[in-house]
Amino acid sequence: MKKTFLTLLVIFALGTQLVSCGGDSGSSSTSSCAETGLYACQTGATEPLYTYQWALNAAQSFFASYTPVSDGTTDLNVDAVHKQGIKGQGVNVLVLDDGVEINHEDLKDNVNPSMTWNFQNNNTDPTPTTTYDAHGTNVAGIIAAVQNGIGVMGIAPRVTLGAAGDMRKGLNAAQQYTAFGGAPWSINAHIINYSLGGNPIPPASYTDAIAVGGQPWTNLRSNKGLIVVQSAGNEYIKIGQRDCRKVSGATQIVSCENPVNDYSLLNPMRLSIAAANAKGYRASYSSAGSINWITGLGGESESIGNYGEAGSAADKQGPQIYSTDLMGCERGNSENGLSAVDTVQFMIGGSPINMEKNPNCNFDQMAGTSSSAPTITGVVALMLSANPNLTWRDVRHILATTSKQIDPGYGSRDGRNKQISLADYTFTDSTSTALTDGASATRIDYGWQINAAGYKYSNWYGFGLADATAAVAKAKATTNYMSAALTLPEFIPVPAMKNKSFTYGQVTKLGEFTVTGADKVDGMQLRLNAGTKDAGTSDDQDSDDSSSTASDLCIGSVGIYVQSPSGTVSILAVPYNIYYNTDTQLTTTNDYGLGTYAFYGEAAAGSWQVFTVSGKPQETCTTAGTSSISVEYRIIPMP
Amino acid sequence: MNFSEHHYLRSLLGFLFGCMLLTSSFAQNTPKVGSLLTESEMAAAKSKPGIQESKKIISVLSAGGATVNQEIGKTIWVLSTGGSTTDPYTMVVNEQRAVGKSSNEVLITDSPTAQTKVKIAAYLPKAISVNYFDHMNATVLRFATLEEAAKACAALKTAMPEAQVSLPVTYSLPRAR
Repeated sequence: MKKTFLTLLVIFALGTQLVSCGGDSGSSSTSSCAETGLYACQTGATEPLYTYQWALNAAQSFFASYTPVSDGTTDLNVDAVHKQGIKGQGVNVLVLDDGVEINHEDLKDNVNPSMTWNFQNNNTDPTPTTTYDAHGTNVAGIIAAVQNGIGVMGIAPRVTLGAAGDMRKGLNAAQQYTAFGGAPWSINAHIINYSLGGNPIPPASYTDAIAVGGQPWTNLRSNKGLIVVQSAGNEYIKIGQRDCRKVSGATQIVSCENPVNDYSLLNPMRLSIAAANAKGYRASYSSAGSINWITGLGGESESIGNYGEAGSAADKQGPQIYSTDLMGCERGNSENGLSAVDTVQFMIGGSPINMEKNPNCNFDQMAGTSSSAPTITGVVALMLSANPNLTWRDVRHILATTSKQIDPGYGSRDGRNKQISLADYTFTDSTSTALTDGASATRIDYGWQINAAGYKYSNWYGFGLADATAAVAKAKATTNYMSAALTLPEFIPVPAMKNKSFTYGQVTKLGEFTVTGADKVDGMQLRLNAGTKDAGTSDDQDSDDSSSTASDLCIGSVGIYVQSPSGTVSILAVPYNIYYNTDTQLTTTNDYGLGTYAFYGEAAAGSWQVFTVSGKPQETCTTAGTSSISVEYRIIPMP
Repeated sequence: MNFSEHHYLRSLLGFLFGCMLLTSSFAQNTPKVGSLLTESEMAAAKSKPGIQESKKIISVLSAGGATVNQEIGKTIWVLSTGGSTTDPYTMVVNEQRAVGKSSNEVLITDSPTAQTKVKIAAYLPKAISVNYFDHMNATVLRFATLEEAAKACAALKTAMPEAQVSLPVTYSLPRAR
């Protein structure tokens, strides 16, 4: 009875929308509409929960008037694309996660059963077998929820959806290659969304062969290359029980975890996606680092009120991303037995708001870079739908060059523009950006920078917040395509930075290396190892004989800065980082990997400078005031 | 009993006690991927022969000023084995005390599978499975034990200098973000 009533209600609501087609409901005139069907060129306004999908259209959302949690303007500018009838048609998206409920009422019409797998029991049904693994179903809905007058609408509601679970159990190499394009069910994916990631303790070894990706993916999508969209991580403040040292007692000054510590993100074909909230600021949890590509929308972490409208973004409160949940009030995130302390009324089974808007608990909201990544996967699907000839390089270049700068003043907020005393990690009064060899204080965040190629880049936001309308317009206008080939050069040891001594508590210029040629920079990567030293010497360069011993290298105290020939400075790692409290030391064979996209488009030729910016190590890490380090580099060129 | 004997016995007892603790600890609470061993657990693990996980050649200057190549490698130690005959695994610990898991695989990338098939022919009888990813230029061989995989890995590195040959070990499980 209840379902019949609801169906009638939906039909009535849909009818109302159709009557108003072409008016202020967000629909467009049909004269330029290439889409056919009941929902042709209509926005998500046809869906009953559209008003809570602020990432699609902030100005028309329920949250627009709740100014402490929403600025009413921050969205992905999606509606204008939908009005053109571009909704992901012809694009295959594969969600690799903890599984997806493929028979969900708001997903099933987009699911292609030949693109599904479950690693838990090796069958083709990726539906989670637990009552709580709703993560992948959330992710799938953000991308691909069907436009059908039910629930929510995905950013690309007409994509073909595939899914695999359970990716969290830790797949071996063969399984990873299977999932990332190596099996009949994954080989036809055009985009993979991977809202998962790791936080290794201590840093792993960076070798190209282990993480799937790079060259093996360039052959996919008819040799135009697979696009993998991946979460940057939710560890800005801390990682579980692993805390980070505060600056002058304050959290939120620098990111606790560096996304690059999950080395898979060093693969240029994987896009690291940060998260912003509905105020247009970095979401409180969103990990910052120099390999973040762009920003999607993930909402805030502590959502309260009926729908997430209560509280203040300054207190980490605000709306999250509405999506599909495991169906039923006994499963998933929306369920019976929750309290208002934990979540919003919409998700509390049996509450008046829930009964009115979500009576079957089939929908919920989710925050995190787990949510921001699929918002970008949706945008990429729209781009490929508009122009399927784009190579993977075209896609990331268009994203980088059409994304919007948000939160332009963050670099001076909360004292972030002040130099930090490296000895005790406290603010000084100086706001100088100078990076001086031997200095005992320096900046640990430069905010937004404009590099020599003219691109704005920030460790918080990458190249900025995606703009679907601008990205699709550029995709449609693209006729000259970048090469899909990818060559990762070998790392080059720097003689001047082999077993190079540096002093804790200060800036040390390790040295320089010179690059020649006409290449422009795509990415720049470093590989670091502890140096060796003979007994009684602290800086024994070029001596690796068997009597040498490993230098203590307390990597948690060591920040790494690089200055390009054009003068742009990128912070690849901050001092007092996540490895500080764990007393982690690098070994002589560690191959600790770092990377940056801050130099994107700059000329590679010239002299590059590498600095350590080091805090004081824990006494249990080393009692010496110096360590030695060996540095290798590679410049990944633009084609 | 002189000092040396006492020292020896104390060391022996300490070693045996450490082994007992390690065995007991692992039996009752198998270390998980991504966890760190304590110093004492690590010492016990390192009492067994290590397995070379990887190696690379670096150029260094000798005392005489000449450039020479030096091989450096990463060593891992086996903590336990498990799984089935078709799905075996080995829990290991690396030099940084991080616990990892190997499926006893050898991963060969950047090499067309047609060429790889020729190079690995001698190892196929010992492998329990092989996966070819033709369009990704990747091959995964799997062995019953990590020792066999390491042996094959080392030999294939030499036989296939143009390829990337590695012994994949997972030190961090993915989690929802």
